[in-house]
Amino acid sequence: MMKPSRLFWKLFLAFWLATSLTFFVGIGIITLSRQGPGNPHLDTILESEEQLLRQFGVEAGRQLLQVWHHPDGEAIAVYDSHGQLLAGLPIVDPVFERTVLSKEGLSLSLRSSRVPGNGGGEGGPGLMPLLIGTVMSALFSSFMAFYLAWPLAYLRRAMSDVAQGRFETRVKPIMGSRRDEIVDLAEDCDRMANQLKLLVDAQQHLLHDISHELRSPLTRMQAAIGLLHQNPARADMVERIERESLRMDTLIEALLTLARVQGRPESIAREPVDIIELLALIVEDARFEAGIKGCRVDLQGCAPFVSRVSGELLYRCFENVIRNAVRHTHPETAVLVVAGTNPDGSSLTVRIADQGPGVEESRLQRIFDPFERGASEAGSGFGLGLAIASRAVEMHGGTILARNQAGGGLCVEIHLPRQA
Amino acid sequence: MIRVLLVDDDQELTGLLSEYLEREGFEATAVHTGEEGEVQALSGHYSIVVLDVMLPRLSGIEVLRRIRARSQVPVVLLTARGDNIDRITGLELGADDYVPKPSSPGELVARLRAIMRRVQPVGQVTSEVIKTGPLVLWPGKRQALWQGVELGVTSTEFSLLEELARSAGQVVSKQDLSLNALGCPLTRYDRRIDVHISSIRQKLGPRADAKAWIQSVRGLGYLLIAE
Repeated sequence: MMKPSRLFWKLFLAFWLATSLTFFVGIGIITLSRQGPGNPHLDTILESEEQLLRQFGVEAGRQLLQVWHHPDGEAIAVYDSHGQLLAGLPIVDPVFERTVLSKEGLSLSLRSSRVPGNGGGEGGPGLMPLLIGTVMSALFSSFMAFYLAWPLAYLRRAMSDVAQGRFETRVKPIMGSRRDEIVDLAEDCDRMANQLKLLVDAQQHLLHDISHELRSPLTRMQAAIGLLHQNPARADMVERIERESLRMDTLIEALLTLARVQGRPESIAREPVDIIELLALIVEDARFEAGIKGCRVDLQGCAPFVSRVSGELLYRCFENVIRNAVRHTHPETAVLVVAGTNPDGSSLTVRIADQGPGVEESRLQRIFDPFERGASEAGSGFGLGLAIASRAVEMHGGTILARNQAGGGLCVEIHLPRQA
Repeated sequence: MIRVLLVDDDQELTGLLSEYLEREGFEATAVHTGEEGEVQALSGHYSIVVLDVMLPRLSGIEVLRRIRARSQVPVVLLTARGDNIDRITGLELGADDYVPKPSSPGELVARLRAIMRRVQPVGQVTSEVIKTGPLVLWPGKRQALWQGVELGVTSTEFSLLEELARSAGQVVSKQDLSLNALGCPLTRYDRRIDVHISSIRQKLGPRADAKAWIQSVRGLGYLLIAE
């Protein structure tokens, strides 16, 4: 069990004060209603009686006591100096007595069955119910405060665990069978911890992959430098080193692009771009590369589709996907790029299909992850192209998916909504 | 001629390294998958294996495990710089040494030479026998008997055991062990000696009094108990 928190004390005091106040006010109302309306307090009557006797005499005093609707057990009487009752009801043993000099010059004795100024007395509520009420309200308040405060203490501890990087912390199971907003909060907290864990793991993984990818060209460079030391006549090694350094530069460039497309969608500059024209440009470029392999790239376009996008990012996106297709399609085959808008022209779908070996079904989902590449293609590219393409499409509110075609080969389908 | 087997999926790198090693007087062959590496390493055709830890599918660590299950052929691991887990696991599994990637091919050649010097000692009296307690060593044949039974140790472990046995009952400093058995000076944070020693300890088992046969003397080095 944990130490009562500050929140516990605040809630406890608030509840206690509230319940105690309600209790006291209740008691007060009951007391007042017992006296009834037009039934002023004994003190006031005594005061008035004294005034009347002084200013108007015994007769006036008698009239007041006659009209005074006195509660049970309360009585006021006026006696003269001989002990003769002049007004009010007789009082056998007065608790209070005062001598008053009346208007007529008589020395009178004003007696009361109760001490004035003391609100208690046998008519009022006793000390015992007050005590019981206060204790009961304290018990109830501490229960309520505890009930609300303890799950928060666990939540707080879980949050500080998460802040310290212990993402496996789970707070929901501690809540037991409880069902309320606090448990919902605990559930959200658990979900957040899980999400953070996934993110941090992915980031770690990415960092590991990046260092590996940067190391490979570096190791080759070291080997080439070693060979150059062995035999300074090997001028081809200098070209080799140059090529490796270019490769590292390309990788860093791609990493920066990846970092950029992982930002928030509103962080990129947009301009109206005709995507069909963009595709035509990329296909033109890809044809040269494909020609070396004896392949074709065919484009089936449609009417211009102008949308407010980042032209540069989408260029890279389509270029990566199309070049990937050209790289994997079998020699002497064609890569087909088909673009089409939906009937109301609100979105564009581009299909890029190759006639290559395709991808194993189990890997289809992962080909858009960074550094995920087929076993047969070690060394070709960095495995960042499709990752960049996928993030770029997501950034434009679109979707990208890959599937194997019935006739063989991979088909990547990109769906982009028009943005005005 | 020392025959080296290179196991690395980076074909360009193995091409460059093979060329380098050949100019240094080795005979190098490269394979690019763990499966192939395992088969070739166990073929008995190679004097030493250079194994990359980061292999696709079958990892270098797993290949090493499989090789060690059947052979004591010397293995040098290529590990990523800063990846201490792979390094320690590799040594524990019986790798003879490791070379971080990236490092110069000259470094790799130096390590290969150091290991080969141990495995093929030159000008040593082949009939020399070292006996201490239940241990009998024939450094010429690289053969070890422990309590009358053949002891399966890697060449690096044999060299360490030999150094300790030559001065049985005395403390041998880690610096001396590194220089004489591994062929290179001790560097800071170098855990290689400790990992190899703990592997030898496991193979020797505990003494009757439950103490280890090889005692570590804090700050000084290691000592093989002589009886």
